[in-house]
Amino acid sequence: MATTTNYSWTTPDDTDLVKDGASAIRTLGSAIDTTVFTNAGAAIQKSIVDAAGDLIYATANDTPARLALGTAGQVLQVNSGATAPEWAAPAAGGGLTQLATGTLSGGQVDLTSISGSYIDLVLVITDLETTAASGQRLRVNADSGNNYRGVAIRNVSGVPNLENNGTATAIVATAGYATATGSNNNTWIYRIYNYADTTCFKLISFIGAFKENGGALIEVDFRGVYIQTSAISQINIVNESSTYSAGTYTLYGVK
Amino acid sequence: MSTIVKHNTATNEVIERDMTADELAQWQADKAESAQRQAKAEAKATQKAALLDRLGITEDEAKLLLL
Repeated sequence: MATTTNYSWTTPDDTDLVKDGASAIRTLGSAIDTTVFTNAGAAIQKSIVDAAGDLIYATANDTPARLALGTAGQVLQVNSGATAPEWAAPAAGGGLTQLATGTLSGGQVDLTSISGSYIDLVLVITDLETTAASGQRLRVNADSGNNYRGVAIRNVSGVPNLENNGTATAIVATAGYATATGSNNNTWIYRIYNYADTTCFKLISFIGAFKENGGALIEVDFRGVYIQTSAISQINIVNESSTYSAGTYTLYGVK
Repeated sequence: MSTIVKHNTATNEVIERDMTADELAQWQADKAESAQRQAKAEAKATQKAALLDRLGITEDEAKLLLL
């Protein structure tokens, strides 16, 4: 008995008798019916999708479902229950969020109630000017105990020095020198790492460039630590012996 | 009497007021420490100048020895 190429349906041979034709047609029809019925049941219905961009996924074994196209900029991700795909806005990447900015004034500027929602803090001080020659220092949490330590590389008029700042009551931004009065394009950038943690010491670094009272340009690269485990919620910018006449501070949270 | 600026980063409220007695005491302590450090730096500079004088070399020549 002959069969078809793809589904092996039985068909009459060329030499079969005409009187068996009805039986042969019924056999072929039954085979076709079975195959079509089986294939239709196994196929994914096109009516599942309704619009351009629709996706088909499974909600369970042999259970297709529709996922409508997301909106512009969304990305395909696994849902919070890890049970299905979903379209969602991409997770925010890193970057800086400005938490505060202002003009330096008085003898000290305290940045208080700092949110603990970031990884690091970056404090940028630019164009700092003082009414008299004065050192600059930084504290955190208004802590004036001997809880600050670090080393600095200081470059004075091209002569580099490596300094051990020892344990001190503050981080001395001017590294033993004093800022000059007037506009000297002074700038410092501090970074306080892992500041919201409550279990480890807080690393603090800064780079700075300022005109010393005698006129020399000084660059400082400082690496140090605040030897306390408490979270940092306050930064104190201290002008040691005069008041600020100009300058800008900007505090950023780093994700 | 010096002033202190308080910038609340949660509310963005900024106030400038006179320092309290404790804040002023701390500021004056910082000032004294700064003066000491300045005096120490100046003494070091004087010693350096005296040493250069004894060696009979200029500061630029001393830099050549360091670099």
